[in-house]
Amino acid sequence: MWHQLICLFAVAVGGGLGGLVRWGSMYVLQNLGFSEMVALMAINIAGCFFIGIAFLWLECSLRRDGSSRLSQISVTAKLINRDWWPKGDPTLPLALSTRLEMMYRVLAALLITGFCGGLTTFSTYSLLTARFASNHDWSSWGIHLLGTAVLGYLAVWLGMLCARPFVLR
Amino acid sequence: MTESETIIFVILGGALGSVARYLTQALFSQQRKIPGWVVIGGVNFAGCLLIGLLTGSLEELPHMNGDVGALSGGTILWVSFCGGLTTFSTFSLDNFLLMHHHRGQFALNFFGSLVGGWGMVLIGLLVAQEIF
Repeated sequence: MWHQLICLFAVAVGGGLGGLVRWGSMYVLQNLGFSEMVALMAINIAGCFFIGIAFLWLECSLRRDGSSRLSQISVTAKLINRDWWPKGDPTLPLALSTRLEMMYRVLAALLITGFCGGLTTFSTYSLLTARFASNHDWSSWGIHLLGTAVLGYLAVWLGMLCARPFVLR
Repeated sequence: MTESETIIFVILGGALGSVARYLTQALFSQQRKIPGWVVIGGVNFAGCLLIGLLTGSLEELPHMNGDVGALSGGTILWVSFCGGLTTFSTFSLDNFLLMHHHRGQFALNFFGSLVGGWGMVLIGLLVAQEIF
């Protein structure tokens, strides 16, 4: 019960902070002369980069019982023998495993669900999609709609690559 | 709206939106075993509908350029609630994970969310213009 309340609090803190950083970044980037589209794109892609870092770091550092979703990905099969990769460890004591799981939940709530979720937005993204379409600005529409999605995907991958050296063993 | 009032509304909206997303995820994904990407897609659609309703009810489209002097506290709260509720990062992470598991579900999530979110904004705009 306490544990769930701590997670909920962590989400609220992370979400509030993420929302504030997004609002502040939009202000700063647009004052520097970037368009609303470019500013939003930069923030969403940065959030995807952060979630890649946070996800790989948390999964590999704290899911040491081999239950990580990453270990089931076939494309990473060639990485599975690297020393930083989480492996199923049957000798891991239950108490340690439970403690790691609780740490994982709280940190994931704070960093992934809270901060990254609050920082990035799908609603303003879709609103801009609709606005470009209603203005018949199809080049901006395409760059915005597909560019953000494709670069966001690549940013997740890049974030995971960058997080590798920092995984705790 | 003074600057500090704006900051409080932004933080409050982001926190409430994120908590709403977290609770929805806990209810549908963890308890009812609906796949996480479906739940996030649904939450994102809901946020798009909400921002469409807001935009349709205003005289002028709200630009999030920080020039919020003209915006009311309720508008700022609503926009930042939608921003906190919806997420692009988890959407991209889900795409990444699905790409390596289920190509079909990846395509559905990727294109479905892009087109669906756009559609939900349009529905929100139309409904708001009917009401207001």
